[in-house]
Amino acid sequence: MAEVRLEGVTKSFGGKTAVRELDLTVEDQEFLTLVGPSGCGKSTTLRMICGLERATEGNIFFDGKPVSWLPANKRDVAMVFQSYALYPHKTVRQNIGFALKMMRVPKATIAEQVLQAARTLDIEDLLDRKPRELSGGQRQRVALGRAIVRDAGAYLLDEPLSNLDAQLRVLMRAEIKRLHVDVARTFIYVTHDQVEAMTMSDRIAVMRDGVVQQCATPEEIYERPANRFVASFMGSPPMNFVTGELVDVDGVRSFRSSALTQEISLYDAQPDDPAVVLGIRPEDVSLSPSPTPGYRPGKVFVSEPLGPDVLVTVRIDGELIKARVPTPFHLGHDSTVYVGFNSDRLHLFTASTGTALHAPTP
Amino acid sequence: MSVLTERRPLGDNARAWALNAPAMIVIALLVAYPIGYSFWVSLQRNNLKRPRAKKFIGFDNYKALLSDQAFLSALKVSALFVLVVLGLTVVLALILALVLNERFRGRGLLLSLALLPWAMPGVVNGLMWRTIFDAKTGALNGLLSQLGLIDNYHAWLTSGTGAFGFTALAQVWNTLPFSVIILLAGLSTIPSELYDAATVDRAGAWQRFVQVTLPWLLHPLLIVLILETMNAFRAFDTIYVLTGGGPGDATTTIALLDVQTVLTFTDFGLGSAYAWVITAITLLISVGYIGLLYRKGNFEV
Amino acid sequence: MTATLSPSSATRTAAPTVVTVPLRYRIPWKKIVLYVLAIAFALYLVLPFYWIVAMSFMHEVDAISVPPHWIPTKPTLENYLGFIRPTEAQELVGGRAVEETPYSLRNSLIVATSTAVLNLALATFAAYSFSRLKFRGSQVLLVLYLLTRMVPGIAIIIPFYLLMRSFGLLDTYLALILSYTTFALPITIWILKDFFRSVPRELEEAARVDRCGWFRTMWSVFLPVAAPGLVAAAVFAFMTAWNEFMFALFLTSTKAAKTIPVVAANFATDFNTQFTVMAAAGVLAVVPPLLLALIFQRKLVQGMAAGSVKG
Repeated sequence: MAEVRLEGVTKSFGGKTAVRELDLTVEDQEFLTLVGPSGCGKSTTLRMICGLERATEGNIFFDGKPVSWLPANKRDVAMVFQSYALYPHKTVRQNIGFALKMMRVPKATIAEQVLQAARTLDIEDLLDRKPRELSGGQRQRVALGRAIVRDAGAYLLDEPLSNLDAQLRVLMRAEIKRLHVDVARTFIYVTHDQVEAMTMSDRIAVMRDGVVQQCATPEEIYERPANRFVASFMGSPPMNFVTGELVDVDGVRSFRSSALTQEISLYDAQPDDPAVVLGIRPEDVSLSPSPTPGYRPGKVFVSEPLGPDVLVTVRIDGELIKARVPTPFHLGHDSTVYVGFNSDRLHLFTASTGTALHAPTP
Repeated sequence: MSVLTERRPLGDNARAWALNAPAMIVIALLVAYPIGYSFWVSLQRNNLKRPRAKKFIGFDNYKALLSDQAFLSALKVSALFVLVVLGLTVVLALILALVLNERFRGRGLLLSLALLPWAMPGVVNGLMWRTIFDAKTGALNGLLSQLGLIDNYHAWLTSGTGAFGFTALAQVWNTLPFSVIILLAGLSTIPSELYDAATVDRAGAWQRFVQVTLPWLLHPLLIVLILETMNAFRAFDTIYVLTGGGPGDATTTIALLDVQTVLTFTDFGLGSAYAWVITAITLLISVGYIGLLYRKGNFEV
Repeated sequence: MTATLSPSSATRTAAPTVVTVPLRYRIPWKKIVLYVLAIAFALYLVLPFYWIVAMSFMHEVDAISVPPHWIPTKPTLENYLGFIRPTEAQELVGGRAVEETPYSLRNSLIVATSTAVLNLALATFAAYSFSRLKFRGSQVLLVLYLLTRMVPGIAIIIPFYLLMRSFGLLDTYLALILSYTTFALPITIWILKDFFRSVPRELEEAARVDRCGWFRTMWSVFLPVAAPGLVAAAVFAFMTAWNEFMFALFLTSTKAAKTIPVVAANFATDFNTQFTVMAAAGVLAVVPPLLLALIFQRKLVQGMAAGSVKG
């Protein structure tokens, strides 16, 4: 019922450009997340879709109909605010039903729909309380309830989980994902937390400085990041990067930096600029206590137990490489360990622009 | 690029001025015109008793002020009055606000009492204190003699200094609540964590006051200073009823003199000039306050 | 919360002594000074008024007795009753002030309330513009509003009088309401603008997403949340109107519009006035605004604090 399309959307505030010529299409009933660091323009984009900000240039379409000049109160959207923005003087019931009242829905219908939304979110017994009597998690649900009670074309969520504690966040992630399935509508979600983006979305749009770096499925983004920024931003713990150059060693294509050399058999293109950055994810790094072919020595810098795995940081001649190895890991600080990279899982990026040159083939 | 042809709504500028329009119209009609007119009159020789002598004389009224004994004396009285009243009001209001900012039993009652003088019109205030200071039957005399502090009943208001001092006291009583509310409101916004942090940093009570409380109080204090100076310079009701400006001209502030000039002597030209002098003085002082305190805090108007 | 005195929480142990004082027995200096100050202020604030109230319930002969009777020994309502049905002796007192007192009470109530309402309406719009919109000239306009308060009343009273006369508004409520509104507007706009700034913008945004137009947003969301500020502004406007004397003196002439301060001043100029009657009039002049301030005292302080609005 609502495909949302942005064409060449630009937003400037005074001298600063928050969003640059953004082209984005959110399919109907898709869950798309805008993710990126603070200031990347994701919230601004969401607010433009909502109608709370007007684009400086460009157009926005809902189902092919232009809505750029339509004010927020005439668009078919619902929004969940980061601070919840619950009306403090109204009860939960009134908060949830307010929009319906504004749309002149008959009272009986309002009561019914409010009840249903409350049941879905498990806040039925809070209906007659005021927001100040509720906990953060409860308020968050009320904010969600206020959005889903309406049958809007698109649901916009602006960092709704960032004010919750870690455990609640994990819980709510699943609930929101479930909500999306139940409601079967377009969800546009904004967050700076890449875990949320990865776990909840159908597609992710990674943004930086007002520009979409890549818009693809979580798997695609993780496996084949379009540039170094996306590769470093998505995935926790983040990808390891080593700067060096492409060389031929004894006829074999390799990567060489001051600290290490790595054979790259799968990449044989000849870029103009041999300066590249090698990327390897911690889970694709292996450690061995004894010398192993293809492995190079390093010293254990620090090891962090994560439960089922241990995150070990190894220092190889000045470079710090993180490896994720299964528990247990018994080598202590400054012990020598041998580090190997899974050669099927290497990433290469140009050193100058960060564009991806090579990624693991599926 | 196709664009929906909906009329672009009014920009912020237009909307803001539209919102201000009703207030501005009311003020323009009812205040701007009389203000302008009064300034115009101050530039005239305009006396009801000598209607045919009326004519435009430029700034002569103002120049005459410099040698006008009544004016100079009233100026002195006003300056002293403002100093005393302002000083007492600010100190007392600050202490009371600090007290009210604490939690203790009876705080609500004290707050209610603090609001009490505000509900009293200036003339009623003057009447009240006149009764209390009365030479023959006043409560002050009664209290002091019962406490054994004086032998005979005094006529408190017959001496110049006495009249001045007690009038100032009466004025302070009346205007205290206003300042207390503003200061108390300012105090209530100070986050308590700042005090906690200061305590952990081993700051003593006085240090906490200076480093935490005072900076946050600068803004409300500024407001209080400006408003109270304005009020003190223009104070009329209480003085009028309490002493009528006497004895002699011991309590004839410039506001009193102004009213006398306009009402009794019907010299509108001179009276208007007096009023504009008051305006100029209060303006200058306000600017002075802002300049002084602006550097010490950060302010938005 | 404040820091006038030593915190009792910080334990200060001196160099080791043989006997250390248990915390329980430490003298709570802070509390003592606090209570002393509180009581001192309470007395300072209430005693003068108490005296007036006491006098209003006495016979004149008791009120002027030496030494004074601090508590009315023979309380009487005759002073108050005199306002409703003056005896001959009372009528001689203070011109017609006694007879006019109840009327003036009514007039003051009507004028002050109307001023408060009118002020709220005008100031809310103006303050909203300062708190939410950035526009050229906003600083200038704000200062201009304040400047209108710098000129003393006596300067503008004559032209104002002539203005009202030309509109036929002398001795009417409207003249007073209009003038008091202009007096109170700068302050009410200031109070409201500060308070409005503290209302989270997201509440209005949520209302827009919930399909509200501007007026609806104000009415259903913004204003209810801004209630403390509105209360503070209204109370200030009411007080300004209630306490004003000079303009009322000039612009009114009969009991149709005279306000309490004018009638009270009449008592002052007549030396035949009995103290007790004056006292009773004084008490009546204070009761309505006092009640108002008491009922709203918490919202009053909140509203002035440009408070923290949680939502």
